[in-house]
Amino acid sequence: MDYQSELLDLRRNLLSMGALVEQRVTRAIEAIVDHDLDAAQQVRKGDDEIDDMEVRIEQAAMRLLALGHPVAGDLRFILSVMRINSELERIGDLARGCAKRFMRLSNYESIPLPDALTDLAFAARTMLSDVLAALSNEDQALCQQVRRSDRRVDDLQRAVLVWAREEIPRHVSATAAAIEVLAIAQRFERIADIATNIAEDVIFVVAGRMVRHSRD
Amino acid sequence: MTPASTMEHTPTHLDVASSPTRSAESETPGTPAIMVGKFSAWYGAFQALHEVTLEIPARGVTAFIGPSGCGKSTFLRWINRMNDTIVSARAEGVLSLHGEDLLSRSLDVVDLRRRVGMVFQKPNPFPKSIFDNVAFGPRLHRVYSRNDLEELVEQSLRSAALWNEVKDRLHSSALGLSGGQQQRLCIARAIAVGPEVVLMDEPCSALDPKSSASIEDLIRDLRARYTIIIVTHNLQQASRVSDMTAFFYEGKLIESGLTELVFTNPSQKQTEDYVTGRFG
Repeated sequence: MDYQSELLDLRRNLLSMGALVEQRVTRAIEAIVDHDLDAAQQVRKGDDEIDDMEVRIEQAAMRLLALGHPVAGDLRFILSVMRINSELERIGDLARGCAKRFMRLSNYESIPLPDALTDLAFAARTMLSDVLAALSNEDQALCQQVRRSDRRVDDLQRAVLVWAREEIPRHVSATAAAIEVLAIAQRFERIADIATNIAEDVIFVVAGRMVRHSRD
Repeated sequence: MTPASTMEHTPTHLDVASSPTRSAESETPGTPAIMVGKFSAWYGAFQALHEVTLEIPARGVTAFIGPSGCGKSTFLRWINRMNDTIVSARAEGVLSLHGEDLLSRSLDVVDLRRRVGMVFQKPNPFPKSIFDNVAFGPRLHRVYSRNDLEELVEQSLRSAALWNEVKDRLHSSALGLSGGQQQRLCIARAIAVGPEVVLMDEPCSALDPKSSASIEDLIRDLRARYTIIIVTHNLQQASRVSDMTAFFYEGKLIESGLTELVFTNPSQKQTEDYVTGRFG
């Protein structure tokens, strides 16, 4: 095997998968902001490509582990690739979930969406974009920024919850729609959480420090 | 630490005096057995080692890694004064075993080699019986009683995980053993004289994977009783068997530390590049 080329390919494929997942999240947000059901339908359908990439990346990482005997930075990178790979696939699933929930929402009585939902969606997307840039540039400072952003996302999710608490008693007929809004908010909050996990994986790759479950 | 000393080549002669100064059992795991301070070595005008400073813990396995010509074998050979046979070899700095200056001209080299055993790349049993190979060292150190010798040979062969395979043919030629068995016999021969330190210079490089695995198992078993230093080009082997790893490059000690750290998060870029196969 050509160890160095396979390692480079692995990196390239993971970044490509990241770009594809980011595009999927952006499309889901556009669908919600522009009330674009076609865009939502596209996001809902297009998961196979991400699933295929996930399997290919995992196979390539396993091959490198088995045949290349990686150590040090290479070992940390491959272990993190395996984790980031499934984390990205999960984000793809969550983007699909957002699109599905939005399509369901459109069947109910129309309600004005809370600003906190769109702010939350954009904040989660920014965290994802930043962490992918940090992965590409091995940028620890940007990873720390992503970790700090998670607090704002939690605040925004709480703001959506407050909105629902006030909206449901006011318009009981909009209860089902409000539940869909809460479900969408929860999915974007999960995307932000996963972006934070990826930031911690990138810090592990670059510095060899395990910062999960710590405030470092 | 002992004061720095210098040493020129001094021819030595074998002497059968046995003076066990310290038993391996008296060492505490983790405390330094060998102290090295600003140790430099030359072959004539060529400087093979540059001011190496290192502590080698007792009762554990330390691996020396590095590309060919980096000085790791030279360093190993200074620990039991194998370089005494090379006229142009000289060294300076601190090299001590439990505080005893290994570079001292007055050091009893025969006794040192009892305390510091060595296992070489290719198994080198003597053309004698299995029993006589293991009994060779003890006899040299004046163990003559048949009962004592039999007990020592059995203990050593058991420690080297070879007893069950050879107990019924102890008086057959050692040359009839397989490569892996011969190497375990050489380890039994090295430990029969009760060394504190066992040096291993590429002990598995001439063996097939199964025999290598059995030697690695043996090294893991022996680490509780002996201070083991292994020179190896096989990085996977170093990472599997050693507690500490020291990386040498161009005669300099670049990095040393816990093997787990050296192989997962080395502090020096040269170490990272070497262990990931980017050079060497």
